Amino acid sequence: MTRMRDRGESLIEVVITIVIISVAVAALVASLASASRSSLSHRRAQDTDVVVRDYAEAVKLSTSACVAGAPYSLSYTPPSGYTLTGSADDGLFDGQSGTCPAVATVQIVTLSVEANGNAPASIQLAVRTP
Amino acid sequence: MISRQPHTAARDSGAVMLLAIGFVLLVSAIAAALAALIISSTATGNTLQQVRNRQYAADAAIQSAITKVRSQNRATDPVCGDVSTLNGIAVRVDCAYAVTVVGNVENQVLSQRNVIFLACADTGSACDKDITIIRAQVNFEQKYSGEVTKTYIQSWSVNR
Repeated sequence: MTRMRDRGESLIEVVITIVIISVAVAALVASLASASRSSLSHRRAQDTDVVVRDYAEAVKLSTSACVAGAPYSLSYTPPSGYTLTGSADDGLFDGQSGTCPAVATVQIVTLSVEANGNAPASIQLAVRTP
Repeated sequence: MISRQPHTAARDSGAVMLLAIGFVLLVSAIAAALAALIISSTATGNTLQQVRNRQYAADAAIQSAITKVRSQNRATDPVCGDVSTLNGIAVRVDCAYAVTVVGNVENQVLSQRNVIFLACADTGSACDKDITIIRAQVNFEQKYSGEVTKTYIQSWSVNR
């Protein structure tokens, strides 16, 4: 009689233990998966941020020796998989080349970078004729 | 035949409870650490993006201020204090002459038109060095007639 009761308790304990551990492991796996996805997302965002910064610095560099009304062009190639787009408030920049602004004005340039699976990044900067 | 003693069963039961509580606490601690990691990395990413936006906004504000001072009369102090918003950040720029003189080949003293620009997040008052984002010193090369022919960035310090 006692033996039978012991067996029953042991089985219930084992089943409950398995259930608790399963729930806990499932939660842990879900957390790890979430952390992994989050980490990947942040890494991609930082990669995109680096590209948009490089793009912005390329614009600054190409306009550093500007002459008012003269054309300028970028010598920047993004890593594969990234798409660059750009525009200016005066319409004198198409993303890869533009026209230097007059000495009395600044050109507000908007740059955007997109990549597959990444959140797009954009930034605005000002360029002028020195 | 071995039978379980009542007092032994009670002690086991307590041990199982302690083990279960310990296990739940361990799992909770790991889950909390993972959540903290995600929150921390999200905050780091946002902070880096804010810093980037702030620096480019300050850069743009100083570029605009240089363009404005360029057209001003050199006989009077440069007038800045404008607030411009770019990348969602309002930046104020203040400026002042940096007195600089040089000698020419005949040892005549010539003044240089150098201006110091301070860009900071707009707080409604003049930029203080403690909150300055960018400090730049710019030389305005100009003809005797007053026309500025070129500007030279002499220093460009990004502080925050």
